[in-house]
Amino acid sequence: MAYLEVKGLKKSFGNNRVLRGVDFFLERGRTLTLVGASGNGKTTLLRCLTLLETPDSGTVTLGETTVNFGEDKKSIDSKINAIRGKIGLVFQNFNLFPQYTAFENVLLPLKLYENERRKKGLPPLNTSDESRAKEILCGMGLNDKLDLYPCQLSGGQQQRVAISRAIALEPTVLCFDEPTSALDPALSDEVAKLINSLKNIAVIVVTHDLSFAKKISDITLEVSDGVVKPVQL
Amino acid sequence: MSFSEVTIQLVQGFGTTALLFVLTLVLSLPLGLVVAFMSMSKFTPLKVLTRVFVWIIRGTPLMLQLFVVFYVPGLLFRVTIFSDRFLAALIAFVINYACYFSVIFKGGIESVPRGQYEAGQVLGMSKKDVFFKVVLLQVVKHVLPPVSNEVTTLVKDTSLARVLLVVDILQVAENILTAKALVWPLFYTGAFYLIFIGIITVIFNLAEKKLSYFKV
Ligand SMILES: Nc1ncnc2c1ncn2[C@@H]1O[C@H](COP(=O)(O)OP(=O)(O)O)[C@@H](O)[C@H]1O
Ligand SMILES: [Mg+2]
Repeated sequence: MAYLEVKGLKKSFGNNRVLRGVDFFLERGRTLTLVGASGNGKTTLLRCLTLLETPDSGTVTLGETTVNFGEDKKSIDSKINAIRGKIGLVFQNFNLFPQYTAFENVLLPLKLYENERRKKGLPPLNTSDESRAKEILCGMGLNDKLDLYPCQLSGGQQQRVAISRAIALEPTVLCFDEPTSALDPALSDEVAKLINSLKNIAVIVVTHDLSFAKKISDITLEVSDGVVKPVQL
Repeated sequence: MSFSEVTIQLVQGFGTTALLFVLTLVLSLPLGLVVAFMSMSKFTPLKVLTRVFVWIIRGTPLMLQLFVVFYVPGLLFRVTIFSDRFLAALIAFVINYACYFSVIFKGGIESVPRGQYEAGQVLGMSKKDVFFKVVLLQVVKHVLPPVSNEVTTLVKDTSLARVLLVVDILQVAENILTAKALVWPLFYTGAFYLIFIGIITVIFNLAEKKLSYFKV
């Protein structure tokens, strides 16, 4: 069975039935791109997967855990906690915390996450939070940017901080919403390289740039009429 | 009356002014945050009631509110709740300023983009952590200039407490005028206000400078 499996996912906003039964699956280490016209529901799908929106019905399976959004709220909530944090998201505009340096942006959620793990009696992630945050940022080529604030970084650097912040929590699925849209087009090769370098993570990328999609995808799905169907690039 | 005699008396009056100022601030700032949350409540009756109350307080003179707080409990319940005139004045000031601050805080909270909350959420942070570790400082930065304005106004508004016969610095000066026919102590009070406001302005400027390292 695939690592991530989505079945019959539905989401409406009022009368606007945006997602009408989305089905797909994805293995770790593979990259799925979602294409489709603006307004077709690509962002909504990512927001449902990252639980920023609660789907109306359908199931999401992550490893051993299946959340059935058709069930009552209580049983959904208990399972949601198991997958929250496992699915990361790099926002279209990154949403870095402006009052923290690049280093602190990565460190803060990591520290809070470790606190949560300690409360639950789980073992800590291997290295210390500080060295882990530093290591990841340096791995992204941000060695000399650790102490800079988001407003002092270029778009591409902000994006790499956002990716570092997400992968520090060791997600098993990482989503990107339009990762090339806020950047200089010349940078899209670098972003592709970065995404291709992510190991052992199931990656889902929303993009309208088909040549970019081609550089990164193992599978491409088009979102239209509320469902997804495979397309050949 | 010599200059130093006048100064001593004015300093005493200014003690009352400063006490009213400090207590009003210390109480109305947190209360303002509570009122701000109430005015944004998802529970509609609470939200509407709070907003109507804030509208009334902001739409009527503070002087009228001083009279209401002092006289109305007596008229309604035939008891003088506030035999202490200073306390009555303080209550009116706290309510009035909490309402003004609540509007400022509401604007500050709403100025923080949704994306900040959402980023915290997908990073597995609790609502409390998102508010205190991510949102709050951005709100503070946003509200500092308007709060600084209100605080400066408060310094001068304290003189309204005289309508309840609270003896503030201006009242002291006026008493000297009546008793000794000296006008200059009245103008001398201006120096106290100016110095006090000068200090407050410097503090707020420093705070704003301290938070200028990031952009929201
Ligand atoms: N929070 C929301 N409330 C109401 N409608 C929404 C909301 N979010 C998205 N939509 C609607 O859902 C549809 C799909 O939007 P979106 O997922 O952003 O599309 P895409 O990312 O493919 O451009 C649009 O019609 C949009 O107006
Ligand atoms: Mg979108």
